[in-house]
Amino acid sequence: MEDLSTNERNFILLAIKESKQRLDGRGLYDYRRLSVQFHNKRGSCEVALGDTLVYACVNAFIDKPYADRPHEGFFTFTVNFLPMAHPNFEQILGSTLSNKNRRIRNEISQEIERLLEKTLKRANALNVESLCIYSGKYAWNIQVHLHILSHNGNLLDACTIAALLSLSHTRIPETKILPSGDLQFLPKYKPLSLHFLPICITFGFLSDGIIILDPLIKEESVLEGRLMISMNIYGDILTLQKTGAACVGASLLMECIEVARLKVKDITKSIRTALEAAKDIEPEQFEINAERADRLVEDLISN
Amino acid sequence: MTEEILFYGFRQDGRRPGELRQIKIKLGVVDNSSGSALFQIGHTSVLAFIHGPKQTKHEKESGHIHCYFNTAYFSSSGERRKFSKGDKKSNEFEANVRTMFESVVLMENNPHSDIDIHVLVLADDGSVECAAINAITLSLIHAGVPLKDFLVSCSSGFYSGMPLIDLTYSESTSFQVISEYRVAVLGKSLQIAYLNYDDIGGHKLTPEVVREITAMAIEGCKQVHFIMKQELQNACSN
Amino acid sequence: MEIEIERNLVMPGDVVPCPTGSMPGYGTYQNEVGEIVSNVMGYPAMYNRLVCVNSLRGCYIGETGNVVIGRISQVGNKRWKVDIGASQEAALQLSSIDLPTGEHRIRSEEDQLHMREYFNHNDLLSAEVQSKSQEGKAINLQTRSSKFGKLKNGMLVVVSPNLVARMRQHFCQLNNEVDIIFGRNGWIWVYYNNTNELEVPLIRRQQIVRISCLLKLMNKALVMISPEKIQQVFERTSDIELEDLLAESTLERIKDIDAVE
Repeated sequence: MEDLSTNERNFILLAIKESKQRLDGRGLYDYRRLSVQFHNKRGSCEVALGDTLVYACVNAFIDKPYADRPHEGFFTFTVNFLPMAHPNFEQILGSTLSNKNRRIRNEISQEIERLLEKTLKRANALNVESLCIYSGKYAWNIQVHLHILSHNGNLLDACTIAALLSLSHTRIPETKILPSGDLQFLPKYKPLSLHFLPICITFGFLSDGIIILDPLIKEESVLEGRLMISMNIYGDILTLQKTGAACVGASLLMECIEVARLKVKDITKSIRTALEAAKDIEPEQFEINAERADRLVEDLISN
Repeated sequence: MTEEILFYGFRQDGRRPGELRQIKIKLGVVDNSSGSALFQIGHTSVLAFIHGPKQTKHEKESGHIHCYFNTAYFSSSGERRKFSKGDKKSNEFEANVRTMFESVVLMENNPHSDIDIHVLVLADDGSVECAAINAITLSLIHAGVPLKDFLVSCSSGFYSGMPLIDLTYSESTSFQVISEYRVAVLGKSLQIAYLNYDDIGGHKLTPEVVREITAMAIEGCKQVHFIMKQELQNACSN
Repeated sequence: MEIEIERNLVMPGDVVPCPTGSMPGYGTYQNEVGEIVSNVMGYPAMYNRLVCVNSLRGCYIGETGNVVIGRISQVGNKRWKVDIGASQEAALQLSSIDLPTGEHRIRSEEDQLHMREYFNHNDLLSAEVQSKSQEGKAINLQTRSSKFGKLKNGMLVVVSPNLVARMRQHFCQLNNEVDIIFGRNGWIWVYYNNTNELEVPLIRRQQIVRISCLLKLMNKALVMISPEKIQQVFERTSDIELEDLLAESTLERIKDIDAVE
C-alpha cells in the first residue's frame, strides 16, 4: 500500500540481511506487542498488534434457517477497511467507492474475509450446526464485524485474533421452546462453543530466502511473497496459502510450519490471559427484537 | 449417497492413488487472441486466452497482468450450481493469478504493456484451478510472451493414510477426503510458486500429512510438465 | 553470420546448448548459475557469439528501417499514436511526416491545428520505423516519402509477424494486377492503385478478396509470405471458387509449400 523510495527499500533489505534487524529493532521472527481492550458490551473488543488497530464486535440475533439447510445457523464476517486506517486509502479504492455504499470494501478486506471464513467457519472452529435451536424455525445468526482502524502491517493476523477474542467473549442467552412453538429467552447466558482457537501466522519472503514474521506496512511493500498458515494450539493446520512472486522449496515450507507451531503457542497464551482478565463484564440484557433483526438484514442487503 | 473413495486400492475412476488423469492439450483455439490453449485433464476442461502484450491505458504506466475468471453455466457436473461470476472464489483466484504469473512472466521485457488473461471453465470435474493455471501457462507460451519457466500445477488430497493426486469433483467434495491441496511449481526448479489449501470438511492437517501431500503434488506437477512439453513438441513439429 | 543450432525446439526454462562465452540475445536470459535459458518457444540461432531464440509466435518487435502498417489510435500533442500490433503503441511525430505542399520547414502552431487533416482517428497508414527509444522500447515512425501515407481502396489482412520476412520491395504488384504492401508487423494491405477511376471495378475487388483469403490461409498454414509464394498458392488454388476458398480442403493443398514450423 505504501510507495517506498529506493533508499528506504535498500535500507530495509540491507538491515535485515546484514544485522538481522528490522525497522523497529525486532528480530526476524519476533511479533509485536499484542494489547487487547474489551469494551463494556460483551463481544466487542479492540486489538492492537503494535500500531495496527482492529475493532471487532459480534452481533447475534435469532433468524430462520434456510429451507435447504434447516439444521444450520449463520456465521458471517464483515471486514470494513475504514478511510482512517491509512492515508493512501483513496488510491486503493479510487472510483469504486460511492457515497451510498456505507460498507468499505476493497481487495484487502475481501481477502481477510475469505481467510476468516476458511479458518473459522470451514474448519469448524464454531460449528454452524451448534447454532441451530429448533430445526427449520429458529437458529442463531452470528455476525462478526471487524473495523480496521489503523493499518501498520499484518492485518490478517490482527483481524483473526480480534475475531477470535470477540467470539470467545460473546455470551448468548439460553433459549427454551415453549409448547406453543415460540422462543423464550432464559436469564442465563452461555458462551459460544468454540472448539479451538485458530491463529493465523503470516510469513513474509524476501529475496535470498530470508523469512520475516509479522511484517510492518513498509516491509510489506518490499516482500516478494507471503505464506499464511493457520494453526491451533494442538498443532493442526487449518489453512495454508502461499501467494506472491517468490518461489520456495518444499523444505522451507516445513520449516515455516515448525516456526508457526511455536508462535501459535505464545499467541494463544496471551489470548487466554486477556480473556481471563475480562471475565467480569456483565452481558447486556438481550432483547428479541424481530424488527431490529429484519432491518439489519435489509440494511446489509441494500448496501 | 456413500461412495467408496478407495476400493481395494483403486479409486472411483479406476486410477491408482498416484496416477494422473489423461491430459489433452490444444493450442490456438481462439483465433482473435494473441495466444490461447485448451487444457483437458480427465473431464475437467478449461480454456484460457491472452490479449497482449498491449499498451497500458495510460502511457508510461507500468504494465500489469489482469485476470478474468469465468465459469460456464453448463460446466458443473451432476448438481445444478449457482452462477458464480463475481463471487469470492473467482476473485481470490484472479488476485492469486496476478501475483503468481508476475513471478514467471518477464515484465522487464515489455515494461509498459498490459497482459489480459481470460479463463473460461468449460467443464468442472475437480482440480479446476490447477487446470486453469496450466491452461494459462500454455496460452502464454503460445502467444510468445517471454517466460522464465513453465508454471505447472496439480492438486492432491489425503484419504485414510494415503495421499491422492489429481482429485475429481466427487473426491474433492467428499467429506472423507482431505482436499484440495493445490500447488503450482516452476517447471525446472520445482520450487513452489503458489500453494492453496481449500478444505470443505473441516479437516485438520498435521505437518507429516502436509509433507506427504506436498511431495505428491510436486510429483504430479513434474508429470504434467513432461506431458505439456511433449504435446507442445508434437503440436509444433506439424 | 547466422548459424542455426540444430533444429530442435526449445521451451521456456530450457537451457540453450551453446559454447561457453556466448552472450544472451533476444528470447533468452541468463539465470543465476550463468546458463543461457530460453524465454520463449522457438528455434535457437547463433549470431557470432550472440545466442537468440526465434519465437514461433509473438507480437511485433520493431527494427529500424522496417516498413509497417498501422492504425491511428490517438491524435495528440504534436504527434499521433499508432497501433501497429506491438507491445506498445508507436509514435508518429508531426515533424516526421511530409507536408502535402512538399515544403521543408519547422512545424508551426497552425500545423498542429491541421493535424486531423493529415491523419485522423482510425486511419490506416504505411510508415517506416525511424527509431526505437531505448527505455520502454517505444517505436517512432516516419512517413518521409511519397510512397508512405494514408491507405485507401483496399483490404487489411493481419497475419503473424514471423511470416513476413525482409524483402527487397515491400510495395509490389502481383501478377493479376493487385497491389500489395507487406508490413513487417504482419499487417498486409491489398489494394487497387488506380486513382483515376471513381469506383473500384468489380473484377478488381474480387481479385483483392481472393488474395486476402489466400493470405489468411497462408497464415493458418504457417507459410512464409512473399510475392513468389503468393503466386504459387494462387496457381494451386485457381480452380476453387471464391466462396469456397476458406475451407479446410484448401488448407491441405497449400500446407506443403515450404511450410515453416
